[in-house]
Amino acid sequence: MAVIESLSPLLAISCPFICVFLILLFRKRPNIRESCTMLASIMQFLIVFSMAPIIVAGNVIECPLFTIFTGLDFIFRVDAFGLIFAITSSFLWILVSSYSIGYMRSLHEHAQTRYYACFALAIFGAVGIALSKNLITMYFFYEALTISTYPLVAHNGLAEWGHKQEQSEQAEEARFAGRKYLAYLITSGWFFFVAIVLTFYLAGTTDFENGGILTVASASRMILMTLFALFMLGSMKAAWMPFHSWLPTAMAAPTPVSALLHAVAVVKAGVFVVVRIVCYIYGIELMGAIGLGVILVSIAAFTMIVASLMAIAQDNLKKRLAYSTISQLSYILFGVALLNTMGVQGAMLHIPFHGFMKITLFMCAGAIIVVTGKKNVSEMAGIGRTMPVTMTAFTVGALGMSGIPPVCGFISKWYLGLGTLEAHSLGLLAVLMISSLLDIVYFFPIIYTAFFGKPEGWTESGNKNENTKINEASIFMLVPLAMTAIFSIIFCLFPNTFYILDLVKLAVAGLGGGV
Amino acid sequence: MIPYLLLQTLAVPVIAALFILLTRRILGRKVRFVPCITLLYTTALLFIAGISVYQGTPIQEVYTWGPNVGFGLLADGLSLPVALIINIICTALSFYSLHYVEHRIEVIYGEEDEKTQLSYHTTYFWLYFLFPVSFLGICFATNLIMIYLFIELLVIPLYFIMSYFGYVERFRVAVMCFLWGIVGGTFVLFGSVLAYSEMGSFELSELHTLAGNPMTFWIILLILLGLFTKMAVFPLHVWMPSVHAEHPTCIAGLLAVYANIAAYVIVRALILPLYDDFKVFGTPIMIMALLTIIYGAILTLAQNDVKRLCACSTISQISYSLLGLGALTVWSIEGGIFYFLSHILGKAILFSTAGIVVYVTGIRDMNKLGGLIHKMPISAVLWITAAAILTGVPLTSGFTGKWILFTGVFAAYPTYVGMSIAILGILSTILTAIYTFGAAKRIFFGPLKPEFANDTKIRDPPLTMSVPLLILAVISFIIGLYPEPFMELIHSVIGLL
Repeated sequence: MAVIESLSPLLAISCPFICVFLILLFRKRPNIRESCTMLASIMQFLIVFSMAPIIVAGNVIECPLFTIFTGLDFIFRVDAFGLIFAITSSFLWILVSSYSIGYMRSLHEHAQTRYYACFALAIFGAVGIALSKNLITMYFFYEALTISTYPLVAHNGLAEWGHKQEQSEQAEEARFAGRKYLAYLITSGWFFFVAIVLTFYLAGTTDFENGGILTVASASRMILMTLFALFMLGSMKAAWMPFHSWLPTAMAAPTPVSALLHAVAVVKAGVFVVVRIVCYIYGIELMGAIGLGVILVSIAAFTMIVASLMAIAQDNLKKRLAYSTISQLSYILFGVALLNTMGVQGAMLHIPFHGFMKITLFMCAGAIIVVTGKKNVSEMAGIGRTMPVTMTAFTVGALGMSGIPPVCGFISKWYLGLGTLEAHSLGLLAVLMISSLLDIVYFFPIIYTAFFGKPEGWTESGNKNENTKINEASIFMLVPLAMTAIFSIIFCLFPNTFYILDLVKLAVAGLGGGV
Repeated sequence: MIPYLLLQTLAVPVIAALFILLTRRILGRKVRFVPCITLLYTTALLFIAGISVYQGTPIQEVYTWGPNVGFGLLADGLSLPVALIINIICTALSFYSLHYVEHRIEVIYGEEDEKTQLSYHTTYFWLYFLFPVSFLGICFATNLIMIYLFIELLVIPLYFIMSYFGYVERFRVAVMCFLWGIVGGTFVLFGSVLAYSEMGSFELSELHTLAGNPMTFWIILLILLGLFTKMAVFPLHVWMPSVHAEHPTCIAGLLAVYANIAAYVIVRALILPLYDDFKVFGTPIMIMALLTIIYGAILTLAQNDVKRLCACSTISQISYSLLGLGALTVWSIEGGIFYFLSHILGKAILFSTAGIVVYVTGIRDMNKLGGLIHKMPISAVLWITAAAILTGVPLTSGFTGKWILFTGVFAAYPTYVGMSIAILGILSTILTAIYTFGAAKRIFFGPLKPEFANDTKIRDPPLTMSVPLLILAVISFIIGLYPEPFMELIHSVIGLL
């Protein structure tokens, strides 16, 4: 394994960062502003993707930035696992940008410059997290991500620069969501920092290493468990129960933001951090030796089941999707907590796959809001007749979520299932199955209502009136959501698209130890 | 090398103060530029000294003062960085004072005749010189009696400036400040005299002979009591909120130094020579520090007055340094000193920005402020920078300080007590974030109050007020991003432990 020094990670990070300034510069010219976003996102994806062949060949790319003090190194390192997340977020950024243009313009949203700038900053944070070599660098981007998403979450409640604040109920709700979001995630960031300092004290370094940097000899079992608790509190972004409630509240944000939050940046960063900690700080072996795997798997199993049950009760489509995300994120935690090859492989695959499927679902929900203004599932009877493309994409996403082939959710769940068998635990397999079943329970009524429900004004004679004409969202929104749906299928048929499967296998092979 | 370099840094300001006194009738209002020029000169001198010390030759100057009492000045790796940063803050605030004092005199003595106003004017500027002199004196002192003298000397300008230029109830608060200052100083004196009776000398360099002596416990206890009074450690913090808040804002930043410099004295006079005897105090100090951090932060959260907010925050910020000192590991002590420097930089900016807000709007109640960023962008940037420094946002000096400090604290006690203290200590910095950024939101963000909307007086202050603070912010970023020279200097002394 050769270490190659290259500036590519820095370039990848600087794309969205420079883009922020360009967006602010062209705030008066919306078309140029949006082309900046598009250009930056495409460039970033190309840069990130150009690193993939090098990594697949078994190398590691490093890019040291600067050292402030002993332990405070800012350094990038691209390894297989980080690259998966980087590819996912940078690719989805392209699609979400296009979708945002359609969404924001159709709804004539205010403060679009702030919106695009914060969006780019959030991607900056997410890709930075993916490419960090150590906890300190990661912490920096982690906080950047938290802060940059706040204006996005509270978008509807924050007035445009220099304007008066809106006093409507919706605005108040958005402001509340923003406050809640900050309260949870900033607190969480602090726990993360405590954990980092403690890790540095125990291990003398904060670099991610295959097989972990902590050992049984580092500290007593109690201290290692306390540290893990701190780390878990530090990753409230992963929305594990009982620290999940910020996520459904954050649905007050515009839909592209929800898509970003749920599929690309924020929550994925949370689970990414957990995987990093389990596999690269503690190491699989240590996790098993001190019994942390069992604790993590219990948390994950609890969240999977309870969140799915809560999803069934939601009528608001976005809220239902939010609870679905909480449940699906725990699949990833679940897979990692199994502490074996198949489980970790399933977890790592689920990060990009869930991203693609969930973003499809959210973009569909947003398209429905833009076209019809309907937010609740119960109002969506017959919507599949007027918006066939959208609802087909939605169906693809929903099938994938429930783990039905030929959508990529099947593959990750397959590996998770194998993982439970490898762990010799039929109980866990049962949890996985029940949870998948619950996914079907809350997704299929939507599909059923959409395609087979009778819209208002529908007459038996079948004459076409206003309510049954095809009425899709703009092309800017339609293309991205169709693309992600198609990609969800492609990933199932050819899991090695974008080298994803190779990268995952490489990452898992590198873990060593008990795997 | 410049002759009498260290003596110059003390003597030149004294001479300049006399110069102001003598020529105040001739120069009139122009005297206000004398402190700026003088302090720029001494800062330059300290830079030169810094280069020499960095190259490995500490500067020592010895003068005789009286029988048994020498008058030595020592600039080594520990005292020089502290002195340099303090002097830079003094310089910055002397520029800041130019307009502020004029405004304050206009408010209080606006009805007096021109001559009286002028005399107040000059009074402020010659008294101002006593601050840098005393601070540098404490930093460079080589014996206990000098430290005591300079600590007491600090109280004098504080008292007069408070009673001449202070805010609400200024005479009462001035007396309060004076009494607490004297009491604290007296305890230091008791301790010093006790040390003298045991070893027959006041020299810091001979203090190590006291190691293991049964009296040492009491010596340390007395000096600590005195210094804790200065540092406003709970429950000796009573004076801090009013004194710190009611001072004219141009010296409020110096008050943070006044309180926090005791951390330096603890390291210099107690920890370095008497490390083993000091160990007994380690855990109690850490617990007191933690209590003060949390108590101070909660006190701050309850404030509506923008100046009182900054004042109360000093209580909790100082105790971070104290927490590091109590942990007694090399890193934690270095972190304590570094955090002290970062805190005084951040606090000088924060408090002076609060001063700018009061100077421009005349309002201290944060509930009546809001949306000022649209009118005063530079001030908003300053406040947010200061908040970032105090909270320890990555890339500022506060973050680096916090990192060094807490890795040291973790290393101190690999037991549950120590670990919980360290964890709680870091977690309580979130309170700092809440009150500094929360105040930023209340003052600068949100809708602009209608009464400010058309007021042309509400705008950024003159450049002499904002630029020095911006320079302080830049310095904080520099030592945050590139702390190595500073840490090497400090390590050259503390690493010997």
